[in-house]
Amino acid sequence: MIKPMLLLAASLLGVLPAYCTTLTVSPATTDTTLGQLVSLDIDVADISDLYAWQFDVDFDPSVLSVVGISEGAFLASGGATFFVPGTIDNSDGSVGFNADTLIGPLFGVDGSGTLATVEFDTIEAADSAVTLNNIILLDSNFNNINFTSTNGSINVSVTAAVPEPNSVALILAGACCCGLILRLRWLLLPVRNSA
Amino acid sequence: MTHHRDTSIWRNIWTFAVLVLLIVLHLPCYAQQWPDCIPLKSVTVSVSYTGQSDAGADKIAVSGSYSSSLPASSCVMSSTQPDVASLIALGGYFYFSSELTGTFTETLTYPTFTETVEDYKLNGIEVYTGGIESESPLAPGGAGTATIAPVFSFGASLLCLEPSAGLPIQLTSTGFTITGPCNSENALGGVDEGTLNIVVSFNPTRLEISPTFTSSFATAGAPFTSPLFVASGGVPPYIWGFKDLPVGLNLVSAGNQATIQGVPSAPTPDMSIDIDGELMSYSGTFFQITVTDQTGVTATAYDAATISFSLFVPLPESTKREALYTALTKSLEGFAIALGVVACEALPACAPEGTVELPELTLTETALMKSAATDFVQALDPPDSNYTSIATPPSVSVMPIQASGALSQSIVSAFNNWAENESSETSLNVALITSLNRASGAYEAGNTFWQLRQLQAAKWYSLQLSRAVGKEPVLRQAVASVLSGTEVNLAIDPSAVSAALQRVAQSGLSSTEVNFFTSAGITPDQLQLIQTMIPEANGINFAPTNLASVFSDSAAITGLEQHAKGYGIFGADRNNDGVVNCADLKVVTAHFGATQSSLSYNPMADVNMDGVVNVLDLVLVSQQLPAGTLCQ
Repeated sequence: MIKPMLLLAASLLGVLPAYCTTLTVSPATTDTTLGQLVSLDIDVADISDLYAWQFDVDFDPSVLSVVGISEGAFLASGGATFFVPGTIDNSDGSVGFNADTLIGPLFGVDGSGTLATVEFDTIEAADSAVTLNNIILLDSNFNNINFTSTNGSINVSVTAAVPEPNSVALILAGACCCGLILRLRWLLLPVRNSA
Repeated sequence: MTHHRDTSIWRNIWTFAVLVLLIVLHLPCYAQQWPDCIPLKSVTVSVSYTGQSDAGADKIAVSGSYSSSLPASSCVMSSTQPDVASLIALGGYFYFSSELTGTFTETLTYPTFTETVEDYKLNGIEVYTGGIESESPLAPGGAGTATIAPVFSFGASLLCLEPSAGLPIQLTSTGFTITGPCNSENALGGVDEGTLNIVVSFNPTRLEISPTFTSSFATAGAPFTSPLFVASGGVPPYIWGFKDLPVGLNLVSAGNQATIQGVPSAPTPDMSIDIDGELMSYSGTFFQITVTDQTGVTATAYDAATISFSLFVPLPESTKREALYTALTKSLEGFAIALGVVACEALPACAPEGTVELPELTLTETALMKSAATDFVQALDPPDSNYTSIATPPSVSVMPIQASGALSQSIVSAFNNWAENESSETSLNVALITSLNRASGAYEAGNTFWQLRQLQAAKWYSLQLSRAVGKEPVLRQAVASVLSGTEVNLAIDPSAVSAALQRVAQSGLSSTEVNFFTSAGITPDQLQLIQTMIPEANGINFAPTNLASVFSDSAAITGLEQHAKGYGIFGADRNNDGVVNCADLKVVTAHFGATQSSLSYNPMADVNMDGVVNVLDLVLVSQQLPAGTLCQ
């Protein structure tokens, strides 16, 4: 039984691409209220020799509009950079061709960090996905770096949501209430007796 | 006594001013009708009047002025100078989106004092007059208040100046002026006489030179005149300048036009030339023409324009042969190896019997590809009429060496890696030279579109060549390293080289050698030249050497590094100003996201010719900049 499992695992390892590098919208889900500004980071993790990057950010233009996009600190940790803020199109819901590159004959940066930050304005109470497309990650030899990407979402409500306590908190609150009632009864009992 | 200063002359002035402004303000720009239409930044309108008012017993001097600037999205004709009548007949030419507002300042000069009143206001298309409500102190010989007719609006008749009468104006890219008599009878029965002056100034447009890029051909010793360069925009007069002009050429300028004229001399020794004398040095190939305008108000908005173009100076035939001979001597390394090994085939001493068995002509092929194919393909590079086709790098294959005997696997690997890179260099170099020749062909045919596309291809191949040449020092060191201390020590026998040269001179190249040159892209005519020139190399004093020392030669490696840098600069110089800097990055970002089918596509932005301007194009330029360069 073990041998077939090992074979299956080995075959899966051989079939599935071994992409360690991830590109994510962070936080993955943001709850906010209408009229609030929301900033999302585009983060990269576990990358090696990143020399330049490019991506588009797409969103629902009936829910969000982009105020601006700024360079993150990660690539600039490797030296001087040239950042190209993409073209904001709030009618189509995209920020196209955002890019950033190191300058000079350098090796790229390793590790994890923020590539860029996008600031949204919320214009309607609804949910909008924030997706990354047209992604290119390049190393210092102009080779594409393989990756996986994770999109995010922004949920806009009319009023601020009241956070619900979780079950443990409810139990604790209930226990506290019970204890408080018992304590009050204990304190009031001598008074009744004396009356 | 009440003094009523007549207001009719002001009515006339303002009516006419309004008409002019209406032309300016409300009529659309017919750019299609007038192709010289160029965008404006803003416009300033000034109206002034000087004259005398004969108001009964009093005669007072009257002058007034008005000035206002407004932003505009408009056009102005830059070359034709019609009069007002023809301007109107054209249905208008100017258009400004903003309203005109301002105040007319009037000065009344009495015999004993001067009074300044601000009483006229323009707002949009209507002229409002607040009127002179009182004059205090009272004018000599009179007392009371003066009033001005209240409102003039569009459609008021012209009582002062009649554009239809054909008052000429000088309309230029900087504006126009209308001047003429403005006389009328005033309400007191007197006559107002004066001169009306309306000045419409177009604030500076962006300073530009057209064309922005061209290439010219000149012959050493023969008179040369470049295409005409025309400056526009900014604030004339212009100051022209130049940089890196070849010896014998000078800038000749007049007004907004300039050209390069003179008799170019042959390239000087410090210039890098290829075999037929074209100026291939990137520092000497391109020169710049600059123009600077007179504005100091918004200097950052009106940058001095820069223009570059390449100059090719074909050499006389005698000089060409000298250059070819020089190239042969410079190719000592390649020829020594190539011909030496050819000779070694007949000389067992070169390759100790039983120790090394090299595939036939392997070394010959790789070495010749470096020294001969590259140089000889460059040697015959006339303008190519096939400029509507983008060259693709030819397939150049190298027979790999197999491990055998003393030829260990490590030696074989190092040598094959080097040879494979050599073949890439040859292939790219042929594509580069072909593209440059076709760019020249497109220029001769006046086809700017294909000239730019061929230049785009040349630069892309140059960038790839930069990387290939940049790898060669490491690959050569690897070969030298594995050869050292081994039995593989191919000595180059000078006498064998001479014998090989004599053989080629007397009997020509062998069929194998001919096949090699043909596969490297050399035409039969070019091959004939090679055989003609080889005897001239027979006088070269080849020094005895061996492969290991050849591959580790520090001077050769330094030269390769310089070549790699030169190829990189040429490829990444996207605005063709001879240097690679932040401006080249901005050429790419200005068209970022454009695809080949879009109107905003620019071949100089699409560095790798993949049809889309993206981060890869950006990286190909940014890597050629010095590390630490700060670009905004």
